Amino acid sequence: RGRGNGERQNGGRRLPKFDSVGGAAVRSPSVLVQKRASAATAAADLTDDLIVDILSRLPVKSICRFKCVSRHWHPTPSTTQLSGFFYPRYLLDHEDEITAIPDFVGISGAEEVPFPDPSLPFLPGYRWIRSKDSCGGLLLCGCWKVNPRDEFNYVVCNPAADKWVVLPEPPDDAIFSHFHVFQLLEEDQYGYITGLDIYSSETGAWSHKENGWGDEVVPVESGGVFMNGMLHLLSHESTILAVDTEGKTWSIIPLLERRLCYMNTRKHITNKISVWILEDYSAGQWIFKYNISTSQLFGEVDLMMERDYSLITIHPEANVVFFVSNSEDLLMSYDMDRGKVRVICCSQSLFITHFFHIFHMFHFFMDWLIKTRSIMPKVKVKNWYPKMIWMLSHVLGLQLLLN
Amino acid sequence: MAAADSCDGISTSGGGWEKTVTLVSSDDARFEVREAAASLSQTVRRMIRAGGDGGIPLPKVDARTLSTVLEYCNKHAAVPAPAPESSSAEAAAVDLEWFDKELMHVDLATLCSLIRAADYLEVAGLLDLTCKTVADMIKSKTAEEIRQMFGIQNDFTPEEEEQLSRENAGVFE
Repeated sequence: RGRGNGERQNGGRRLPKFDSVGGAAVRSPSVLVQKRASAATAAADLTDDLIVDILSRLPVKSICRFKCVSRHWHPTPSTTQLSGFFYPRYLLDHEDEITAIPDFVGISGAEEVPFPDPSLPFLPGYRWIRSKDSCGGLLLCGCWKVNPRDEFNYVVCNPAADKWVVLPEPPDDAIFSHFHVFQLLEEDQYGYITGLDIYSSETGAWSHKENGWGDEVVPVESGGVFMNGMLHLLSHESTILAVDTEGKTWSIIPLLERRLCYMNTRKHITNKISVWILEDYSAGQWIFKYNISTSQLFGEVDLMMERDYSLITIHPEANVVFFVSNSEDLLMSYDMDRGKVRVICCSQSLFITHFFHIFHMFHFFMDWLIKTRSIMPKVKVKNWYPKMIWMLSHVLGLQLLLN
Repeated sequence: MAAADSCDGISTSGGGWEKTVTLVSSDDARFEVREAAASLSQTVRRMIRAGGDGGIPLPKVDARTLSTVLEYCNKHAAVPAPAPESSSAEAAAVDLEWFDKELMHVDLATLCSLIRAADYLEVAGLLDLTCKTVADMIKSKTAEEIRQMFGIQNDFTPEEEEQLSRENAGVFE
């Protein structure tokens, strides 16, 4: 950084115009000779911001590799921790009352936890703290306390910075939310969606929107995913329901095949997991990506999703699936490109993870991307698609607006 | 308007009736450009508003780099406001994409100069394009290849390097 700008050796030289059909090799030989020398100064001249801008466009795998290039290329500690999972740990307090506190398991293989205390001790006085969702380095928790009065809050916090905000009471007894929180309103009998309440952190208020998806729409319990500024839900009609944060745009994206949802097992072949990717968001085009057999994962064939194992999520940048083996209390990852299985952790406390919704993937990395991206308000659809596959706990979603 | 009148760099080119500005590179090459194209650079746009004599000086950009930047600006400023879903808009988009691709057929040093220039001149589209191009170039390289490409010294101690590669041996290895 700061080596000055005046040393361009070929400054001012008129070069031949690009050949409109040729490749890089059409340059004059003298330029090619100079390439090594001037390239050497080229990167040194790039400011940290520009290097970050370039790196932010790379997949996680490349970034991890490039951390070793030099100190200059090594992102600051707060951005190197990629991600991990929050999950609840249940304990008895000194009055023998059961309490829930969040715990964290990292997936990067590094020993250290990226923040001082995953139990979020800076949140005052809560007996229950359950992570609900996360996005952009923020975590949404449902928190309950009994003193000074019985109170349930939704809290959005930054675990690394000890900062939090308590969301105001929603108009009904459940929730959603710079971020937005959504609450789906359903009618009692069949669970058809009747509308949405949307909380905006900018206005600090809830607004109510009538359902714009049409009649008799029922979302699957697994919850939502944010992408392209829209909340996405899976419906029982095998479609994806999308709505923007204003409640103005409502759309339905068809899935390619009935009963086949992003990452799922086929009806009669429970030992095979199919992964489909929505390649072209605007055209709603799905492509088949992977077939994973449970024998690849566990060495056993007759395993059933949900009963024997649970899928948690797919890493948003790398083709890595995370899942829990229910019989052995293992949190594992599977690299779909390399066909490698890895055990991330083995813990008794995982016994509660019969439902994948307990884990919430926590991305520091995305935070970094979002910060960078705010300079360039272009969302890279392709790199964000796997977030579609997040299966979260509730009808709750959380989004950081990019701008 | 008053500011524009006071600026010598602005003249009306014959026939086209388009306002032009003169940009002066670090090595004193002068480029006459349509104002609409030059205004893709937020830096230039501000300088046009501020007015000035004898063209707009851009001391941080050499002529070679500036000519490529202006090639980009000329092309992109020529594109009319997109009428979505019309076939001509689609063709224009394809043409532009093709143009961008061709423009990026340059070596790494040139790309880095372009990145710096796009950053200084605040040409958002070009900055995006060049950063993306470099990212694509280096995506599958190893750390050592990156050092060679960019002429970077490895300033980690062997112990630190080993520690780093151990950290990386996470889910991706």
